[in-house]
Amino acid sequence: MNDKLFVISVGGTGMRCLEAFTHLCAIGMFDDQEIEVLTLDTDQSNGNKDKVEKLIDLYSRIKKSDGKSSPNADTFFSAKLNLYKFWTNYEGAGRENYRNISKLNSGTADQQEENRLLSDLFLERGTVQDFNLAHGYRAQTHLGSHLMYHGIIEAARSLALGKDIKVEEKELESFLGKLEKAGSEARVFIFGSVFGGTGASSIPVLPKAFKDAIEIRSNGKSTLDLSKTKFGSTLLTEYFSFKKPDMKQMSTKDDSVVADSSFFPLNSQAALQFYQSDPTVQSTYKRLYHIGWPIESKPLGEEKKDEKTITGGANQKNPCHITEMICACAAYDFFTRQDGLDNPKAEYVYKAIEFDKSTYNFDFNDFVGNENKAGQIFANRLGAFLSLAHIILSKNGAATKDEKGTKAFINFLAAQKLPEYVAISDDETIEIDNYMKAFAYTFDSQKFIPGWIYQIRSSVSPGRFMFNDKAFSFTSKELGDLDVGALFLEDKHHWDKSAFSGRYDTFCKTLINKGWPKSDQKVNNLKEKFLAHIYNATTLSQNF
Amino acid sequence: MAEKLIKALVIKVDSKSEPGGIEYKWDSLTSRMPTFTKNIITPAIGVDKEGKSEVNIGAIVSGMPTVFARSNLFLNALNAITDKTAEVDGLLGFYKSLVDEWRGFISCLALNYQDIEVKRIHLAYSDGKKLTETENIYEPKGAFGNVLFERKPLWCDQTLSSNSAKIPFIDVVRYNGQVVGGTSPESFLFTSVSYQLSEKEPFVNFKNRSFTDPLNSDLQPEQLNTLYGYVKFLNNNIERFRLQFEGLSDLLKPRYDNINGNLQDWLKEMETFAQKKGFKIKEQIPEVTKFENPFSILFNHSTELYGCNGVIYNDSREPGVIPFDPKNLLLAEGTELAQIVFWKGRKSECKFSAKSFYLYPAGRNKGRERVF
Repeated sequence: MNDKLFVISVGGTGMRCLEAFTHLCAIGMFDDQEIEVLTLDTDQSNGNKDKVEKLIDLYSRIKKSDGKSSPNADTFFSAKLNLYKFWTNYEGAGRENYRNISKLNSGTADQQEENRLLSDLFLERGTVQDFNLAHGYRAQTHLGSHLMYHGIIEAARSLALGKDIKVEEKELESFLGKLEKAGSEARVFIFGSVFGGTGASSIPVLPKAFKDAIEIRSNGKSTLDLSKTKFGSTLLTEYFSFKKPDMKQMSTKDDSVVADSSFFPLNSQAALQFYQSDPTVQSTYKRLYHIGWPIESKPLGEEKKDEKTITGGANQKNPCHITEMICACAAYDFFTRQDGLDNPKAEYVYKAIEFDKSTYNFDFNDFVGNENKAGQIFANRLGAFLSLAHIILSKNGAATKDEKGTKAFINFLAAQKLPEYVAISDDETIEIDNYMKAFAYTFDSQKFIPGWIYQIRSSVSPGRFMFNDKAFSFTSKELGDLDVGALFLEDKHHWDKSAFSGRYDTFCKTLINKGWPKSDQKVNNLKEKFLAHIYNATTLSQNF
Repeated sequence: MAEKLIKALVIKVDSKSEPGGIEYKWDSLTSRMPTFTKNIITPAIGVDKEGKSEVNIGAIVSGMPTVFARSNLFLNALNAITDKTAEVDGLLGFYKSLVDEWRGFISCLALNYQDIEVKRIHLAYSDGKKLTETENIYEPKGAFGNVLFERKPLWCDQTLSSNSAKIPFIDVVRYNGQVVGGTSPESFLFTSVSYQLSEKEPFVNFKNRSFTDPLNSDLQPEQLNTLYGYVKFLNNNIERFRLQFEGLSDLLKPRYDNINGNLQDWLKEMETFAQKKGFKIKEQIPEVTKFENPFSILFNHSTELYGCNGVIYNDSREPGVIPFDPKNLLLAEGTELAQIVFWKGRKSECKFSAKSFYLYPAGRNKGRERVF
């Protein structure tokens, strides 16, 4: 595969899928790739957006040394991620709602009449035409798709003029420049839901919006051939619910429209019917991955007793779910497949998983398939990364605040006659610690805070999730006693031990004596060598 | 060892439509999508047969990501509801209420056409400029046209020559001054997102104040005659309307099989209604002349004929024809018929026997009426 890879995450759910995708990159699933990542929202303050952008920044700092970064192969953090942030700005006078941004009261009497007639035909007066857009499109995707398309076009016009360019427009320009350059060699994967607001609004219009934006930005000198550029997307339907908005909240004009999760299935059904028949979607996408959750989902926000339903903003941070990880794996399929991307009409695909006693049971092969040992490679990498997380967080104490786990591990290795990595700075090791906390867990005083993989596992519970239950221990004592080399369900993948030496000690010996990075791993700096060395030693220990 | 069961990781769907899947692989859903999406399980929202619900379902169903969602929903409704008597809930319940509304809208055209106004709005920016240059890119007229995307050719006048600038349009329909809906090349008509009717007519649902199929009401025999005639007329025009889209790509060509089926069912329902009420249907087609081309093909009915050299045509495209309304040739109101015997001998000897006459009063003479 020589195509250039692009990822776009839209809206709150799209951001969480991107979080899963970033973790797949961290475990090494996108070898030797430089991936351009665009976060797209209406809501610059969205909690999920902020969280994933910080995660990617952290990821990039871990890869960077002396300001440089490059892709590696067959190691942790192998892909290089370039992050761009764009949001449609609805702040400022005259941009607060549809009525104002459309300037319905401007123009001649005839023009005003016609614009009002059209608006009243399609968009409800008093609610859809008047709610505050600052927190997104609030599940009003008919309005949202129109505004998102024109928001991107507005930015492209501003770029073409070259005056008063806003920071987010500049970022969009960089992303568009890369996309334009890749042209028909581009594979673009979009993360978003079909049941919510911003993501659901944007998926159908993005290929056209980017094509038109590229044309406008270049004053017609360049374009994007949508029959050749490969677009793929998730069609993720509802998998969570949240507190129902009350009448008091909806009585204010700004909040006259609040998404109500009990109607998500209706919206999903309407959306899927649209995706199945819309000629624009059919002709601009190559592959659409439908992912849903047909069993009971846990409601969000019950513990918080939120006074209001969260419509967006910094408070919108929801726990992670297995469906988001499956979405990230859909991107893996789209980016790695050798065929099925030259069809003139979109192909709709889905996945089936082992189901028993009303729960899903996930196997490694369920995520990336079993062709060319993909499932085994995934198992090896995820298992190795989870073991490393436990080594840093529990064996070396980083899960507890103020402890430097990676540094402690490096010092331990140095004491065991492996001093090569002591030159990695404290700041650099703290970044690795912090990434592992985000990936697995941390403690706030005595309170256990689950990270991404723990939250994913929790969403599957009581179903099976690749590893044994001990791999997801959560008390200080259990974690302190955890055998980090025995996380798999199958004993054959447990690290070796002997009568005189536990698995962890055996692993450290392997690390000291074997697993030195090879040239084809393309590691350049000391930090990358350290991570590749651990990756290699774990791979040797796991017997895949 | 028990056989391993796999279950599709898809939206909750009726078991008969749930795809089976292939272990570890992404499997195709493309060919099954129409059935699959139709049988998605949604919460009951209690829409009664007249479309009344405790919640504003039209506002809830906002998941269709196009500003033309309202129009698309009518297309989906007409495609999804092929059996009006079937018990349905959720989105299908909503679709059923939309079909009811759609029939009500047609009935309004048939029965109250004199109170209808149609205004064509071209979906282009008022300043005549393109997306790249216009002052306000969010102006609805232009912006809505932009987001038709691939559908744009479908919403244009198909009769324009290939080198003419084709601009999509919508005919917005007002009833007694209120915007009630518009025209669509896919569903012919759709109602607006929020209109409230106060007229006491058989096609108005007094509970939710929207259009409804007047067969739910006490339809008078004359109204039934007119509605029956108009629906039949409309149905007969579908094929001619469809033919104008023949030049479009297969992705865009509209199909009207379900609309046709719906109208035929409606005609049967009218016949049953008449039978129950003891009416005998005498078709009458109302004079509707409010629509412009191409929707005039579907909705307009006029008795206007065309004449040339004594030959009468009903097609304006015949060369040299002059339009005339046969209504104007009818005898004036109050005219009385009288028999005038010109000849008492052999009929063949009377040169007036095969002629018709119109007599003009010429005053009285000696107490007797004189006429020309």
